[in-house]
Amino acid sequence: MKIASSFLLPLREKMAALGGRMRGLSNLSTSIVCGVDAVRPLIRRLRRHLLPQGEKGRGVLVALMAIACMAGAAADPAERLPDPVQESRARDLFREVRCLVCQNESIDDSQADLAGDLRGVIRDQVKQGRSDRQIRTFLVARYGEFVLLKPPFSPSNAVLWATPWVALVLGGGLMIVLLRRRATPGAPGEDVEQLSEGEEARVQALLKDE
Amino acid sequence: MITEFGAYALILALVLSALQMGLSAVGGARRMSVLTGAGQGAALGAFLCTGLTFLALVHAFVVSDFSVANVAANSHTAKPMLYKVAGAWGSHEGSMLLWCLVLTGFGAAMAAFGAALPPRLRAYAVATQGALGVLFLAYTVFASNPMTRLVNVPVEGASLNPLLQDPALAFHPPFLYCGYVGFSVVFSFSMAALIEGRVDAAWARWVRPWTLAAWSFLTVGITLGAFWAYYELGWGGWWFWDPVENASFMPWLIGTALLHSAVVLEKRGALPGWTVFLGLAAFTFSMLGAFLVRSGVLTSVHAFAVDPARGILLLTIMGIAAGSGFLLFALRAPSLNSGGLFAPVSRESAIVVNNIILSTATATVLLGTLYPLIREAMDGEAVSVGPPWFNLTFVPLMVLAMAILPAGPLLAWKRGDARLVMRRLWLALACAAILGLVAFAVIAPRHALASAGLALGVWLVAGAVLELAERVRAFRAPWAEVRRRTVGLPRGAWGMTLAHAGLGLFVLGASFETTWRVEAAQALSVGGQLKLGAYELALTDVGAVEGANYIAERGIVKITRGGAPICTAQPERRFYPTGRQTTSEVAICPRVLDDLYVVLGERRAGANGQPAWLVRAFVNPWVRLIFLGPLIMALGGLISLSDRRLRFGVARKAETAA
Repeated sequence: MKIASSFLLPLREKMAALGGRMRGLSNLSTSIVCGVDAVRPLIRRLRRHLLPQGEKGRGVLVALMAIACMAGAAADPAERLPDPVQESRARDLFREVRCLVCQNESIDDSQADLAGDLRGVIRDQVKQGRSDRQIRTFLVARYGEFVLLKPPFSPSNAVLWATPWVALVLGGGLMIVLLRRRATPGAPGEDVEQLSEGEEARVQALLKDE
Repeated sequence: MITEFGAYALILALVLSALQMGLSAVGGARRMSVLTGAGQGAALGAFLCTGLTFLALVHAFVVSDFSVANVAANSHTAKPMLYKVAGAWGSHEGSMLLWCLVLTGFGAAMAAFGAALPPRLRAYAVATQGALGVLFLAYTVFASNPMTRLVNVPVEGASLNPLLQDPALAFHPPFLYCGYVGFSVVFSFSMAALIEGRVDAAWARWVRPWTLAAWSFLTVGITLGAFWAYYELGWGGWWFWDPVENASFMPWLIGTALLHSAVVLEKRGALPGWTVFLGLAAFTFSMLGAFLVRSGVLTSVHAFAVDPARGILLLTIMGIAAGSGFLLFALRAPSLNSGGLFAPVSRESAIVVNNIILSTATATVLLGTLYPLIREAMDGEAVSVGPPWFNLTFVPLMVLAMAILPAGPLLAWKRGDARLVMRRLWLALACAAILGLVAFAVIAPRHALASAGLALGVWLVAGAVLELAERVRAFRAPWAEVRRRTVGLPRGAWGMTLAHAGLGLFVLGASFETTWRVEAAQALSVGGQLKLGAYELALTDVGAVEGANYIAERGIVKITRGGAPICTAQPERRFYPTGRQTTSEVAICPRVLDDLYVVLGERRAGANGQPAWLVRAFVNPWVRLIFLGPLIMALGGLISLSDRRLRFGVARKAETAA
């Protein structure tokens, strides 16, 4: 029972929080732009916000507003770096960085103000010659792992990165084991019997005679 | 009045579903055909009543009856008629009603067209479908009733979000739901088979048509959604690994696995337990999708009506349905016959490998979707799992599956000969390798992975064509023989070839488009020019237009190539006063396989005081294949469905013979 409730608790909290987060979206963007470091506590605070009863339609509205802000903004010539190599590096990074005020998009796609600011920050750093790794570390230090659309390879993310391959190997292994077990001679209903080498040779000889 | 009638009919549908469940279950257990017959009648009645409610809701939308809360929240008098009607399923409540309509509809179809099924299996399946109907209708009646009236009637409605006012999206939900909920039939059949304790080839024959139908609908539904995202959201993306997309994709993956394992069960009697498991899992993933989309546990671009309280209810429904299903499975699975045997190299094995990979891929998508929740519950850290992660996990898995795909249909049942298969496929392999290398050498910028993707696509298409050629003995037997074989080829074989080739086309399109798309953007004043790859774009005019429920700026962009006119694109930037929303209406100039994709951005101050607009343009090469491929796959499904071997009567003969 305890397990169930401890699982459901964050779930319920999160569900409630999303409503709050969405409601706060419009006032959020201004405060975020002036103090980017304030984002994480802000999001946390908003998460605690509960969606008041009877405001059912509100969530949709804000969610849809969030869609409306999507429009592939990163190509804006006003923002671009003069060096095409640096620019393409920056663009590759943008695709891995989440727009924090949007619902679920990269800063490469988002037109939100914060996404624009973040693109500026990253382009500046690319221009200063910092490596991709340094820039990612910088972003994580500022906003937490939430900002990366590609979670880093770290012990705490081991489950995430390893599971698909472990599952594949387990599935394949299970198949091989089962096939072997069922192919053992003497199993009931055996009809795909493996011939021994001697038997195989005899069959070939008999076939040749015909 | 009509609305009250609709609300009443919905409650009646709930009662009838309960009757359907009770009568069929008791009738099945006691072998009383009167009761099972009454249960079938109740199933038809439940569908009829849900249909009436649905019509009542559509009517309320058509006449813009804003005293109905759902209409007031989602409609507007100025909305075009198509979107008024589509608004009926555009909201949470309406779409749940659509869900119930499809659910009871499939229940009624089982009752009406199941005469050839064994009576008990049919009774239990109808009963299970009735139970699902009770769960979802009760949810709709008590927690999300679309017929609720408002005390203070507004003069005007709040309108449907303009982004959703789009033909592709008007038809997207009905297709999607026919697919999602179509798997409920498979779920019910699986439950019935488990209750009876018998899963055999005949069972697989009954289940396959339903799976095929649901899978085809789901394929079309997902494709429509992707197509909508492509041309409506304004930057040419068509798949974002967003939780809501994943929610629709997981049942599709499991459904695909089920389609294949059901073939093994039907043809060879092997994998009964596994097939039933997949039958239960497909609809479970549909329900999980409904929960994820509507509860708001995950952040999504397409978030639906987000409501935590309803989320908990949906989770409970899912828990009850899936829980009882898998509990029954756990109890009965050990007693299921393990079925026919097969060698490690055989068509059965190939399909098992396909199933392992597809299941792993489903688990991968599920993990990626839920991981942020898991991580937050574990150590409170908020993380994101986005497209880069899926590209590094899901895509390689699929590549693996597709690498072995063409070999599967060429392997013999029971025991195949890998060398023989390779001898038959060498031509496909050679085509793939050569074209891949050519692509690597010729197409700039050079891109090894994308070239490999092209080779994979060619491998799939050529493999499918070769398999067909092999079946009809093309280039080997005399012409008359080939013709006779081609005509006599079962539709199921055509369906499979089309589906596999369609997948190949999709891979070609996706590899090409994501890598070699050309992008250009510039702030242009009227008369300004922009170079986009080999094309020249000129903004010749920007004028104001007025639509039914919006006002817009429309740019006239003349596209030429080396001076020769190609087409005139008219992208718009629309403002919908009702919702105070701005959307950009993309202009697409279709070439044969490519799209020229032009977006008009916001107005800004340009040089020397003239207004300028940010014009963004893309050449999306081979993008047509991305949407054509899945449609061909769905077409393959439908052609298979029309195979006479899959009709009900035939299945009965197979059973009596067995």
